[in-house]
Amino acid sequence: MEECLNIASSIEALSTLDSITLMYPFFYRPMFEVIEDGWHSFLPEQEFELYSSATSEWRLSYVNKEFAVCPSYPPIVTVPKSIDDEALRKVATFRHGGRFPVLSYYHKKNGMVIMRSGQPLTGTNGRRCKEDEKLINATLRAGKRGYIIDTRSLSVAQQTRAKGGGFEQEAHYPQWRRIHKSIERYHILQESLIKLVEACNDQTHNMDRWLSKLEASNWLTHIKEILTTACLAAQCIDREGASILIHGTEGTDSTLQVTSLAQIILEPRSRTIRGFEALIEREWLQAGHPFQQRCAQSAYCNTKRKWEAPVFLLFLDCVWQILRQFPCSFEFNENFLIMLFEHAYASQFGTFLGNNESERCKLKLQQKTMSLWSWVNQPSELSKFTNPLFEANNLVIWPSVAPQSLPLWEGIFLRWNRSSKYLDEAYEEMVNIIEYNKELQAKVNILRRQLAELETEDGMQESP
Amino acid sequence: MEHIRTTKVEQVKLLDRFSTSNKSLTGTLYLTATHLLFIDSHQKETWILHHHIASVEKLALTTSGCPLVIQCKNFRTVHFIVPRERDCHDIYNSLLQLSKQAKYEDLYAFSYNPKQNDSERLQGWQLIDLAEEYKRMGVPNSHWQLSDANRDYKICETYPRELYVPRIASKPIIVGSSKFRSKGRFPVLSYYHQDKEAAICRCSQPLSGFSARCLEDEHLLQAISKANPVNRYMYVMDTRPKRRMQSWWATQKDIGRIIVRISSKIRNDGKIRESNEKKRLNAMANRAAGKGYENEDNYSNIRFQFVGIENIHVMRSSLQKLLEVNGTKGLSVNDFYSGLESSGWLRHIKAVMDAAIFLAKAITVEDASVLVHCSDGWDRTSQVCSLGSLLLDSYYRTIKGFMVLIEKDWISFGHKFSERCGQLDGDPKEVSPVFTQFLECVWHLTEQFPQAFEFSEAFLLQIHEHIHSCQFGNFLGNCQKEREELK
Repeated sequence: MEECLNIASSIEALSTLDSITLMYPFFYRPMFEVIEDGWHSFLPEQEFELYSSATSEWRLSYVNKEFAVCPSYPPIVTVPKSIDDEALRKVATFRHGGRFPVLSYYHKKNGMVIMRSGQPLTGTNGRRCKEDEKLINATLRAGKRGYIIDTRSLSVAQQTRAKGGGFEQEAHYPQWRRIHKSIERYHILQESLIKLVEACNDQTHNMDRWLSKLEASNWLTHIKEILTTACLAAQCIDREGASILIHGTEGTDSTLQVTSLAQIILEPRSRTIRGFEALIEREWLQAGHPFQQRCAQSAYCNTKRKWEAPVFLLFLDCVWQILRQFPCSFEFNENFLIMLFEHAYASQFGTFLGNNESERCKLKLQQKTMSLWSWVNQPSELSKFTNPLFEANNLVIWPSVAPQSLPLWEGIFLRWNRSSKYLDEAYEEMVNIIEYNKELQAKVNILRRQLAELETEDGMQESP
Repeated sequence: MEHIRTTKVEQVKLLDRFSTSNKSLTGTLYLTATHLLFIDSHQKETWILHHHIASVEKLALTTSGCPLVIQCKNFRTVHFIVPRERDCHDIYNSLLQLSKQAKYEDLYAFSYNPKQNDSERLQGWQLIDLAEEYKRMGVPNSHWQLSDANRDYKICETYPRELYVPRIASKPIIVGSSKFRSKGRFPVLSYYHQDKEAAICRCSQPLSGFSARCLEDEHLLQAISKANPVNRYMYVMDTRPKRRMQSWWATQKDIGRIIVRISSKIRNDGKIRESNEKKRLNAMANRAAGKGYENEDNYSNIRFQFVGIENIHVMRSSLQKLLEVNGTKGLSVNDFYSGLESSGWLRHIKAVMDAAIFLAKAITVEDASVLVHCSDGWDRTSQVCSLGSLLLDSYYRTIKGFMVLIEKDWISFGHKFSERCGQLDGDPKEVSPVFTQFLECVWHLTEQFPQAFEFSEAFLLQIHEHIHSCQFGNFLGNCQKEREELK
């Protein structure tokens, strides 16, 4: 009995370590040969290269080099060319957490952009900041309007004014139309997750209780909200041809969900494996999503931690929903998403440690730990995560958000409850069929070439 | 043809709420003797069989025209807007007439003429040979034999000609038992499991009343359990819910003295097992009404199992609610799930699946034979027997095997396709999605065990289309006898 208690308390202590430096990534020695250093795979300069050829309206700013201007932003950000660093410093004082508007995504097709930021600190006095207005107006073409998507409902946004926050006033931002699309946050999401996991583990197998428990958890409602907002953002960019600015309160949770999902919808590159990794680097890791706070304990924690919320898991669930609706448009498969989910919570790699780039630099993660991408991008590992049905396309994909189209992600939530043996076997078979098909296709091509050669030979022989 | 007033209307709009590009397509609507055809401006054709139409509704006149909503039995809904009210009215009336036929001979199957000669047609009908199927199962053998008692449908009109019964059951036993069972549907073999030497049998409820007992029926059940050399006892699965019995009990309480027998008078080592006392009392009440279940005092060596699948009326309203939930636009996730739950559809599916699993376990784990019945033995009994056989025998998971299964347990054993699918203009209370539920259960199995089935979802959908389409003769009529009469 005593042994059992000892083991239990040891496990409890080890699983709730407070100090980051005691965590596994600092002790992990990789067993594989490191071909690519994941820490340097997705640098902002490289990302910038990808669209700087198409436009000259943007530049990289190093104003946050020492993390002095904005502690949660990376050292290098992309801003309109016409705005200088001094102006950026002023704008940072006007935005929550110093998170001034930066470029998130550039849509090559029509040059429209997604920007993200924190909420404007208008407060009850209706404070304004000319530099802030100038900054976001710089992204607009002459005579065109932009959209500001606020991920809070109007009433919530208004309430934040009492604490010094607020939203962009129409009078000061006449060229921008504001849309409020409420997405839940913090403890509401955590409670949702807890209820959902409880429903999934319920062994009584009663159909009615299952459905009502599922509904009561509201998890799928959140999925629907997030996807709808992302679709709206994508619509503004692609259909309306307008630039958008997205923010919530802090700009570190629902904002990032919307910007990253909108890119999945709009840009085929985000649906490739490297593109998706780059997306996570850019929009989540470097953008300062507080992983350490949000992903400390997941659904079973005993103590209610204030900052715990499954924001990243919701994002991955939304990606899975789109993947399920468009099975041939993604280079990665479900296992890739499940793997990312696991590593965000507990990993031998340092990628998801810390809350932002500043902390990661202080902890010297690049020197002391291994990057997840180094391991994942090895060919032997990648093969597990590649989608055999993938066919590259250039389309913008529009997912359906009707309740009927959003099923529960069994791969994550029912993973340990039900054997997936038969589904795995069917998947293996599918991979085999596709491989075999490719081999036959190659054979056909070879035979066709031979036939063509024989025909020309005959033709040459016949003419005297 | 005489029902059609207008054969062609132009400039009709078809509303498509799921299309991202076009909310409505304009085209021409045609009415033929068998189909409704809509050809739009892109030359895309939409064919709707008249038999598929479940209901036609004319909505209130709007500025763009007169809306016409057509709901089909295969769950398709089409929404037309006809510019002129008079045209709309004509189409509406024509469709009403065309979708409700009075006679079998007016059904599509009799006028459908594919390019096939007579020998090909004959081959098609001979593709499924039930006698072959029984042979494959291993009957007739030392325990089971073919009975000629129903050769001319003299004993039971809704059963097929060829029936398999235990070898030790003589003709008088069969005849006696058939008189004791509702609609003459006495216990017969549905599936024989060669390895376990256990059998699935099916029948209808006994007309036991209060004190009536039928020695022949008891002997027949004895014969069935004896035909299983491995296991002494057999299960009797009553697929009706005990709740129904409960309400009967409440009303029958006033009727006379109720004898509650608890002790068993069984001589050999057969066991009596009932889940709880109430069930016995309730089933007794049902017995008082003239129909009921087997009195275990008289039947030795049997164990009871109530599996609680609801009746056809409950299923019909459940489907109705489900379709409503699905058809509503702009639902929130919560409303969707509450609607789904209150329809109870998935609960019914689960009940059928649970029953089939119990059946399969009884045979494979306990080596026991099972006798399944409901009220009339042609709805829930068919579902449970066929689904159970599917779980047990991988042959039924092939394309041909599945066809054989449907021919055997549904078509030959008299599931009332005509009435359940509303093929003729009959009693709407008899319409019920019993077969549809069976197909859905099979679909769930294909989702969970993708590699165990030779066919795909598309096959199931096709079959579903055609039970309503009346294009082919398989599903016409209510039983084998009727089909032979209709040729």
